[in-house]
Amino acid sequence: MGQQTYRILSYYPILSTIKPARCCFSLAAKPDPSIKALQQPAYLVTPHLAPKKAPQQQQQQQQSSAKATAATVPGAAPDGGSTSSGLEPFRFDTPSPDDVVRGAQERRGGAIPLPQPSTSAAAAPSLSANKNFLRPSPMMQQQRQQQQQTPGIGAEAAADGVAALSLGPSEIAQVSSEAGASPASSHGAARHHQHHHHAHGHERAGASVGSSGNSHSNALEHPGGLHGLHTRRAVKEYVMEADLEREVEAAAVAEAAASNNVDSIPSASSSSGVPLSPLHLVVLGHVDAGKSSLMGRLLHELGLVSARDDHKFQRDAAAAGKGSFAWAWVLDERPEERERGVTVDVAMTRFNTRRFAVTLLDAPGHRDFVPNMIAGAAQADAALLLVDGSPGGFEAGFSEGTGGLHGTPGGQTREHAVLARSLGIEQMAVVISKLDTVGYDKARFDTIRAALLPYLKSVGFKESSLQWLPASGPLGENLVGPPQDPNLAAWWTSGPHVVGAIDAFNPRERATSKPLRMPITDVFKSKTGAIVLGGKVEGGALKPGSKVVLVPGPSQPFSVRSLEASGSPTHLVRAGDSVEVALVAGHGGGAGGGGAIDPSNVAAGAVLCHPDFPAVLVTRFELRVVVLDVPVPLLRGHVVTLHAHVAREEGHITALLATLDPRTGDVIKSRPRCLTKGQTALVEVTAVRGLVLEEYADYRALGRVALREGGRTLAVGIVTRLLE
Amino acid sequence: MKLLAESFAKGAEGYIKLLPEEAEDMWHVYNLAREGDHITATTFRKVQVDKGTGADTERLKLKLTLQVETIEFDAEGGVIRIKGRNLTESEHIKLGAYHSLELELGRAFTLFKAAWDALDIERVRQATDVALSADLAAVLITEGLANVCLVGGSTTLVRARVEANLPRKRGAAALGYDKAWNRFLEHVFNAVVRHVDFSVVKCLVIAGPGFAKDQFKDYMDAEAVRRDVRPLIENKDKMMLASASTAYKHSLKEVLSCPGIAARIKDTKAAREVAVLQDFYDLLSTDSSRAFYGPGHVFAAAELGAIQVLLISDSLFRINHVEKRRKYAELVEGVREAGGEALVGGQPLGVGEQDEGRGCCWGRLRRSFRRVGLYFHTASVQASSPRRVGQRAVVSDPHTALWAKGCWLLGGARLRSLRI
Repeated sequence: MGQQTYRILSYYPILSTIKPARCCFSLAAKPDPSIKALQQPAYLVTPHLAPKKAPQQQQQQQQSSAKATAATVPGAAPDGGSTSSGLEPFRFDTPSPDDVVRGAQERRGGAIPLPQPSTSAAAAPSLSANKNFLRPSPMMQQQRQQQQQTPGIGAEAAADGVAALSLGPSEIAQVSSEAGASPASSHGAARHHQHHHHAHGHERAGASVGSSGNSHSNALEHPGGLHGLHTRRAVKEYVMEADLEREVEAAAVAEAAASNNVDSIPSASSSSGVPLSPLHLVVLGHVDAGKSSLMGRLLHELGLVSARDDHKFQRDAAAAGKGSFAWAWVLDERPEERERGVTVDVAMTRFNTRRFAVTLLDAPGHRDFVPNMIAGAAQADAALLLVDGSPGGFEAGFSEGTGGLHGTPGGQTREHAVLARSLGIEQMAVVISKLDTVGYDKARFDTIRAALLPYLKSVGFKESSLQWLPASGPLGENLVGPPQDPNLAAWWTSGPHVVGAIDAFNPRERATSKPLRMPITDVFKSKTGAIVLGGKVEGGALKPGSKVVLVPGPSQPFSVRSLEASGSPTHLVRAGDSVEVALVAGHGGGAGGGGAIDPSNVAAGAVLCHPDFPAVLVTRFELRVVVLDVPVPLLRGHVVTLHAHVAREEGHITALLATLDPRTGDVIKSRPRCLTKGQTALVEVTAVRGLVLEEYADYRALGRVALREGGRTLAVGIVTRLLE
Repeated sequence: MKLLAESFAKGAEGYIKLLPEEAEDMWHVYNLAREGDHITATTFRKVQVDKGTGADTERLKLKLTLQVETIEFDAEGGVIRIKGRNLTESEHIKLGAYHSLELELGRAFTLFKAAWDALDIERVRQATDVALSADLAAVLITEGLANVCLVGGSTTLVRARVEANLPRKRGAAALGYDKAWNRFLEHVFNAVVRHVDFSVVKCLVIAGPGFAKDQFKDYMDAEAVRRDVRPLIENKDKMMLASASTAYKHSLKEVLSCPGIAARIKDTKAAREVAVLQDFYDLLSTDSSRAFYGPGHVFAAAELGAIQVLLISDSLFRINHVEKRRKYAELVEGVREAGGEALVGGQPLGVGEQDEGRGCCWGRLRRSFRRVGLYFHTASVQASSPRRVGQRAVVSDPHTALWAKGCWLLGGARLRSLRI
């Protein structure tokens, strides 16, 4: 029997066993556009000369070509003469025929650039091919039409992405106008290709014709179960369940009322049961700037550290010869953290201010633990940046890295600030500590501020969203009330204290209208045996009884047994809340019960999702990055560590697609050979194992990635496209 | 690896008989054997034996020759699985029937190739050279992740990967942390005991970010005494700590380049590769016109004999594409003939096992070719350029023209006339 099956296999032509994908594609993508591209200069090919495509696509191409000429893309102008008049008018940033052919071959060989559901221009054919499996309901269709009429959502999000990478407004205008013109191609990457080299656009269209067959077979593989990247339903089709929506709205109304209340009655106490807005606050800064000490003292001042603990820490720290670390011990609980006086992992604790229920994330400052800091900052809405004001302290934290492979990376004040901004933190309070060492000298405060402000602006912080204040952790100056020390009180009269600065932050808008996403930061078994997942909800809402699915994880959904936010049980959590979710198996009782998953199998970085709109694991994706302080230029094949929300993974850069103009987003050079410091670029990255990512336009928190290597952050960026 | 018999010449057909002895040898075998080769080895097959009382199955030891169709490498187990069609006449298995073989340590096999190229021969020489053997073990460790690697004379293998999900330090899970942490350390300890053979290894480096490495060192010392693991106790002086930014395999590069360790492993290929790569990166930031990168540029430069040092990842040679492989083999040979140095490997680059045939190549140009390099860089030559530089060249495409001009500057001998 075994032999026979083998024999059947053996008649399978050997040729096709080598690269089945390639064969299928060369058949599908006829007539071969690469030949066309060779015969005529690539940049001359207009859609009218192209082989007939589906009318829909042709229309889109014409649209995009019209736009391209209108936008006067470099390379459009000198084409006519280049073949006859020789070298002079040639511009190197236009793609050569070689580039086009190569690009075409690679794209075909790769066999992957499948269309994105609902966003890229190629979505239409693949959807029609999948019709039998994923027939859109009338409601979905209606929604889609609505989206096409009002493409504001996508455009807005895209515009925001641009702003996050510190790009100018002209691009935003371009994006939105384009989205208005052809909603289907509001996608950044697709736009670049279409704009810049029509031949690429052709090839893309050709490939998508070929690939529709491919995605068809994809759909066959997953007819209804867990969705693949190309078969899952688009996030925009999500409509919240009616009962959940009612509760979410009610909670939003209550919260709005509460915050008004707080504004009008300043003495409203946090214990009065009024729901406070959640605020995730991360404390950043160079190692030994005094982050943990300041926060420890702050907790003490707020009355959250019992006198007994307080006394114990003082005594033990003094006994260990580390009296100055006593306050930090409030947060640094692990023995090795106390022994070495260095925070290792992010400590999470909660306290309430007048306006906020603050979740405090105390990040480590040591260079080796930047990965942990990234995980903390990825959850934060706002940051406190601690700067050591003692002589030499600020300079150490703010030092620039030296170049070369053996150069030392820069100080963590720099790195933390840029990482925080790239991880989505827009508002920050800069706390200058240890000023007591210089007798609370105002000049020192002003010097540091003057040195730091231009840098913070250059990495994308707005001056209006920055606050500056002096404070001292161990001495308790300017933490919860005005300073007591006469030297400091003399000149710090009207400025805020630390808690005041926290209250001055703006709460972040809750993305409740999207399907549930909750990256898992912590997993444990509760006393009752249920699996409890901790994390911050980044999209959607949850109530007990909601069905959820874990990606990666078992395909059966779980249902939520109970919820805990800020340490107390609750009946509803919404995006922006930090929660602990107790799960039971979805099909009620029976098989497995709450123990269906082993806590040790759920790694940090898994994401809890809505069962009908699950996230997917991706191994290959396209990023739009800003290259930071790199010791050597980035090349294709560069091995990096990827950090996205709380997940981290090994990966490498598989392609440098284009360098972009940081202001307009136009392609400066396609397929650059290397990327140098300060460039904005489109790159393709492959992870060794899958990561849960989303496009930035859909979920900001899940669409940001930082690339690190050798203790430095090489580049930060946003996900523009999921590929595999 | 022991070479038991050989009969081949470059470019002609022939066979070798090999006896793999260490894990690294399996890596060589994996790189030597390709689709279409014939492999003879002993294997087992279940056959039906009619004993009169009904059919019975019996496991028979057979010596089979297979024509290879697929090759799988299991680095952790140190086993290569080969699937192919039978070429041996036997009463138990038909000609052309599919069968699979496992190549293991300590079991000899014969490899027949229709054509041996220079790279294959070099690999055989390298693999059978006793002087080059595994000599450094590294444990890359951080909270929740550890990799146990062996850095050999010619390759780097990850022998074990230990992962654990550690609870965070706050809240109800804080108590579980110590338990999970100790379990994790125990797993790593077991992996070290299993995979690190101190009779071969010159030193064991424990590296990683933060304090996990120190904690592991303490744990290992204590545990070795408690369990009485003699090799670990006796070789305490062979252990050293180093710093690395992550516990992923690619951080090994940082470990290998730190001075104390670099001195110990200076003869290994990995050390040489790290040095070349660093040199290349330095060149890229100081004199970028001499740093060539990517197949298009490297091939073009090699054609001119301009390459001083070539570093090319060996995943490029594991492709089952005769023509491509020949092209790369010629590239390496060409560079050597022209007096340059060519290193095939690229293990520390991290581009390795995962993606077959998608490796990279780097080249460092001779100083005298600097000016040409400038032309190449501005011209952005791609691999598919019409690269025929014959006696005459008529070039209409400006990219190619610039490229050709670069060649022309080099010397009229190769390109007598150039019409643009």
